[in-house]
Amino acid sequence: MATSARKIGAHSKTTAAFNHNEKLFRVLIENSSDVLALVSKEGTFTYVSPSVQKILGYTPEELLGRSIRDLFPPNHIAEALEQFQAVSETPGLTVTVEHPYLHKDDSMRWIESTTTNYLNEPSIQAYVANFRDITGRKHAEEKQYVLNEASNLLVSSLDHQITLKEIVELIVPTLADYCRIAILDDDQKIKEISVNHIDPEKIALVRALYEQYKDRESTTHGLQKILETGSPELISTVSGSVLATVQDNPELLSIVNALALKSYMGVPLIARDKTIGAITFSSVQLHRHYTYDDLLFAQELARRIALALDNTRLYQQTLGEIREREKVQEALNESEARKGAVFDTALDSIITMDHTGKIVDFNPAAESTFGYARCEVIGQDMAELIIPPSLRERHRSGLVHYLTSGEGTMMDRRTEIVAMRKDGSEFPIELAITRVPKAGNPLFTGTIRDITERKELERRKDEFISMASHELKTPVTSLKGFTNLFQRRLADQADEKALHYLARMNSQLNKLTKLISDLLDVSRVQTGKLTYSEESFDLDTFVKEMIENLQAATDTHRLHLEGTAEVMIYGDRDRIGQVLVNLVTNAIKYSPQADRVIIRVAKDATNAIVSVQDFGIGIANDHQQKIFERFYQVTDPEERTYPGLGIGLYLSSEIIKRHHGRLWVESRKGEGATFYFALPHTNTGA
Amino acid sequence: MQSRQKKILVVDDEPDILEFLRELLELEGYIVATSDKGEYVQQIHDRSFPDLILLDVLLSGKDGREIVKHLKSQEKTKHIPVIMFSAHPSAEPTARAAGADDFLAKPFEMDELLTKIANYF
Repeated sequence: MATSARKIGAHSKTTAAFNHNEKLFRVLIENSSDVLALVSKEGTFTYVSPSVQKILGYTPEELLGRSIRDLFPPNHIAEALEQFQAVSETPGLTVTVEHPYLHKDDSMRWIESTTTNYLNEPSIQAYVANFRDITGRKHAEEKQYVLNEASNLLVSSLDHQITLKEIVELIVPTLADYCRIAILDDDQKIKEISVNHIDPEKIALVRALYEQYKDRESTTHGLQKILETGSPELISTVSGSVLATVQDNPELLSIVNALALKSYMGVPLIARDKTIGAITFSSVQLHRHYTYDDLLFAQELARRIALALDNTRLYQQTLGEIREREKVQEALNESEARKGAVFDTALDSIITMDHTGKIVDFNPAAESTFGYARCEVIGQDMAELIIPPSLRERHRSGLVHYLTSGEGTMMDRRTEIVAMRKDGSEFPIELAITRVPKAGNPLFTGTIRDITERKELERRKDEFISMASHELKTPVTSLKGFTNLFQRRLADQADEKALHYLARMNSQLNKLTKLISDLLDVSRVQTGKLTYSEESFDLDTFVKEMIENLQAATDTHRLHLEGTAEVMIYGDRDRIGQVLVNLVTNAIKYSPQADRVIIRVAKDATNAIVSVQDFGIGIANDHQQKIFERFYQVTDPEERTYPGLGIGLYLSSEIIKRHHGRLWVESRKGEGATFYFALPHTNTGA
Repeated sequence: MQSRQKKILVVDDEPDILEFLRELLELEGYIVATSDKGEYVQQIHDRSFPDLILLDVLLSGKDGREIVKHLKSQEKTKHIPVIMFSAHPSAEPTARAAGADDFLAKPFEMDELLTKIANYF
């Protein structure tokens, strides 16, 4: 018995020790923040330590006998069971996994579980599991993940519309049940809004929510408030008092109720101290209440979004500028191409020269005109190649003069000049030089037309008119001769009537002669071949003689000569006489009702001025310039048309111009006309 | 009255002009010889010299300026006044340069011609 008693003693000692140990372990287990649980082979809890209540809300008693499956969110059951598969098949195996579990209040908790298979251990015959709440760590990780992902999205795309859509998709459901990002335009109006909701069907509701809010004055909460104030907003728990602010708007209230908002926060997107938008996070889950920590996170996210949007804006702006520049460049290229086409196909030679006289461009027409290939002449001195030796010096000094003074006698006008081909032959050209508008050293473009043919035609025309004039004058000479002869014969017989007829014939022959001469002159003026002889003569005497002769030829008008100039004129007497004859015969012709013409001679410091005044039909203002044009005639249907070729004033004007003088008219319709010509006199001091 | 009748040689290739000039000048009391060929002038020094020559600038087959140049280069003929005329008024400078003493543009007034001729007598 002693043995038995001893045995009993030993047993009770062991029991005491065991009891002590069990107590100790129980205390340790029950006070641990981790949860210890025993799970049967079938997956039901056989033991759960009390700390489970802190993590999942259940008391140990509520869990005993229940399946662990009940604690998994429905959509995670399959995955969770799969993770337990290995441990269930291998006795002694320990597996640690992270998993979401459902809290008693239906919210989610992240649990790290370490499970060991002790099913084959006779004294245990269960899975021993240790649960640790890692929800906080998980949330921090999620936030970090969202931040990282958002940052990646923001830097990977410069199209912010796509990016914002991806960001709201990233935030929901991890950090919110619905989420909005609104962007303001330059007028502080919302230009776009990106929305996401865990329930795709409710996305429209979220959009509608804003539509209801946006025009409300004195909004107390929400997106519009954040946009207006630029301040973040946090409503951890959406209470009845918050909802009361929308009671007056049943439509809005119904939306808010349908969304079942529980917690909310929103922060502005601020770039360069300006609110450019806002982001809001909304929770409909009972357990998810946004905290100040969450707000800090939201601000960090908002800061990154704002920065990215600002970069995008700058990028778009730059892109816009680049595109604009590309457009300009394109237009420029097009214009270049057009010009190039003109340059290549122009019938005229186009040669571009730099300020040193070197050729920088030479078009195909220039190649065929001058006989040089483009590659032969680029960079060569232009004068050496295409300007005849006798003109080179003039070209060079002209260029130097232009570069130093900005004055060029050849610039921007057509000039007829002689050019030289590769074979040394010379030919007439018409040349127009233009300065290429550009900064820096000037470029000059010369357009050159080979006028050999035109010159030849001009020569032939001139020859023809000269010959025609000669051929016309020859019979007139005979007609005049015989008329004169006839007059002399009849003079003896005193047949006044016959003599009168002959005088008329002679006068008409004189007109015919003048017409022929004028035609020849017009042709010569045009080709610059009107010849002038130059001599010095006394103007007063000259005019007096001319007027006497003209008076002898008219019996309808008195020619009054007034004034003197007392100057010498250097020029062609006959040509200037031709002008005076033109003006006086016009004065008589256009004043059929009048009986006098006044011719005045005067001078000023540099010019002698001769005027011819008539008292005839006058010239309307709009004709006064045109009457000096070739072949121009005033034809007034109300009045009788005056005969003539319309070349007298043109010739007169050209003659006066050649003498460096000026011919003009002062007149009013119906009040007569006064024609003036001014010629430089040689009495500089007189 | 003049001491003796002056002889005028008229050279032109237009027969009508020769005809009326002959008649007109004869009416004025001149002795007139006419020719429609420039070559004729070259032969005049073999005959009696005219007192004045009226010479057309452009003769068929011969340039009147060549003729006047020749006349003015010959000792026996260079004193003979030559009045040239032409339907080309622009021929005046070259005619004078060739040696013509005066120039008249065709067509002309008879009085103008007679005045010019009278200058030499």
